[in-house]
Amino acid sequence: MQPIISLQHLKKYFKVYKKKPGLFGSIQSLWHREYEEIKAVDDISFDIHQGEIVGFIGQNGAGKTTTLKMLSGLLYPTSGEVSVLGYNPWDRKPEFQKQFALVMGQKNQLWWDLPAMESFLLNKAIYEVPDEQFHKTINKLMDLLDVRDIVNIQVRKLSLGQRMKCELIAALLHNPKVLFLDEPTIGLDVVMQKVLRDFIKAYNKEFGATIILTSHYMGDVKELCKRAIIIDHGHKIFDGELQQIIDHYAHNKILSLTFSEEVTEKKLEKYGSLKEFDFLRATLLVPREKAAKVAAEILSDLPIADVNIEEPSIEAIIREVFESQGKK
Amino acid sequence: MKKYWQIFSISWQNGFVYPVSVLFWRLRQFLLTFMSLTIWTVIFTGHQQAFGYTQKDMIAYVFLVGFLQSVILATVLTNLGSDIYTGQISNTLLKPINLFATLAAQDIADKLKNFGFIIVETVILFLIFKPSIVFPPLTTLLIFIFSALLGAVLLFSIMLLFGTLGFWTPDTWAPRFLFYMFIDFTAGKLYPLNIFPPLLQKILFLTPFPYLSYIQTQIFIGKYTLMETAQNIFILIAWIVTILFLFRFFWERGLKEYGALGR
Repeated sequence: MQPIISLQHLKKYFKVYKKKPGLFGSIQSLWHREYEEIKAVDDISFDIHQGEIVGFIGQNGAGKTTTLKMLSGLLYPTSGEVSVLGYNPWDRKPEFQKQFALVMGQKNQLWWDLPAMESFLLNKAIYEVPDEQFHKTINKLMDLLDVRDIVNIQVRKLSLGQRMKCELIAALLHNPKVLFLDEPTIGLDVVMQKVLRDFIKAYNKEFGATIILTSHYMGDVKELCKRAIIIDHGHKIFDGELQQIIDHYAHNKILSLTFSEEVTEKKLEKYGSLKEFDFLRATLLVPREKAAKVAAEILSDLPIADVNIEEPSIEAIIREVFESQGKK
Repeated sequence: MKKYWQIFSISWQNGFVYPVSVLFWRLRQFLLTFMSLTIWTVIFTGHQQAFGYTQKDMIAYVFLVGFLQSVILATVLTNLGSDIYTGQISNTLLKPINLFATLAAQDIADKLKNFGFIIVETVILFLIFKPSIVFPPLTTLLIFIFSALLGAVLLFSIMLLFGTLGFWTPDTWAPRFLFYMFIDFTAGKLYPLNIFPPLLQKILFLTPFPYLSYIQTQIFIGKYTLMETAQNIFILIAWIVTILFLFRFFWERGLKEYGALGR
């Protein structure tokens, strides 16, 4: 099966002006400026197939958004090749543009001073959505996201969550086959995050859409994506199933212990690395392969009331991934 | 075509979101022309002629040029440079629409919004200063309208060219500010350009400024022969073509540099 999105050795370097601090620096910059080359994306390759939801994970400035901008044809790459739906994105062919959408949590396409409905009608005309399809889609989206009451209110008077829902509707009116979602849940409360996640899942299922999602909330990635790509300083450092990240990077399991009598720290340290301790409770990190054996030993040696063996949170694992990269 | 009509329609609605700002903006334009007409009325007090113009001719000139500049110089493209620099233009670049046509639709919506006000202002100024406007024959009037439209296209292309600065620098405001200052002195808004010494006039006519409203007014009041009219319109078109060519060149280079900041 041909991939829907394909990147080959993609690079994007920016020349950035470095200003010296202070007033003197500002004056000096009038005749002499120093530039620095930033490698925002540095030799990234991957393929994505139809219907996949891929989580794009990376710290701030890792190159996630730059990659999405190249995939949507906003940025010209410094080198490398990209194909999305068989098109070169930066040819900006209308046939291509009608098949994808880019949604950014921190920017909007809605007309700020007008009701969202006006922007929907504008997109209907721009994407040449037939009347019947428009009414069907918009009614469905308005019900799914529960925004029927707010689409006729000026956008600037809406809350962040309401605006984000309307942004999604504006982006999906033409039923795009490819969706680039950049931090779609940023700044939203947990209830709203859940609503949007469920919605993205439902959209992917119904339209077989291919979705790339970047998010700081690992909950988004965990719930929506089977596959994750991790990038750091413009390099791809992992590409595979989320479970593989856990297998590959989570060297320890977490043993949460509750005691029926007080035990000493010293007694616990011989079983593993002690993370937390408060007399009747303790958390131990134990090598994955030894976890079951150590738990059995603790059960027989110590006065245990309860024991739990857990995987570390995905956040902690990702943090470990970046920390291990930083040390290289 | 429907999509550009929708862009026109939404831009029109957006233009009236802040009615007080619109009213004050129009008041400023009205007062500028009012001041100019008042100054010339005062200059001619006690004189029959000044700078080779009679009071009647001068008031008619300033009245006409004021009307014309209100129409030609009204544009929304003044924000193009900052829209590019801040990444706002990405919204348009991502969609299956022609950027040129989109900007034109927005500009026409803005011009038409202003046009209603300009008519009212013109009637008020007419009642106050009673300029003796003699309408030219129909052919001249049609040529005048055509040249005025070309003047609007010339300003549109100049603004597009200024906008491309946004690809390289956030300093898009300063050059535009200078341009508008030049317009005040060189496009014939405050006085007709033929009151200048011949050498200065020659230099001015090497720039696009006189083609933004001065030559159109001269066509209306019948100062040009048919040959001179044709020649001026030809130069006006040549300016448009040259500036659009430059715009295309810088636009294509700029897109390769575009950082799509923010968005």
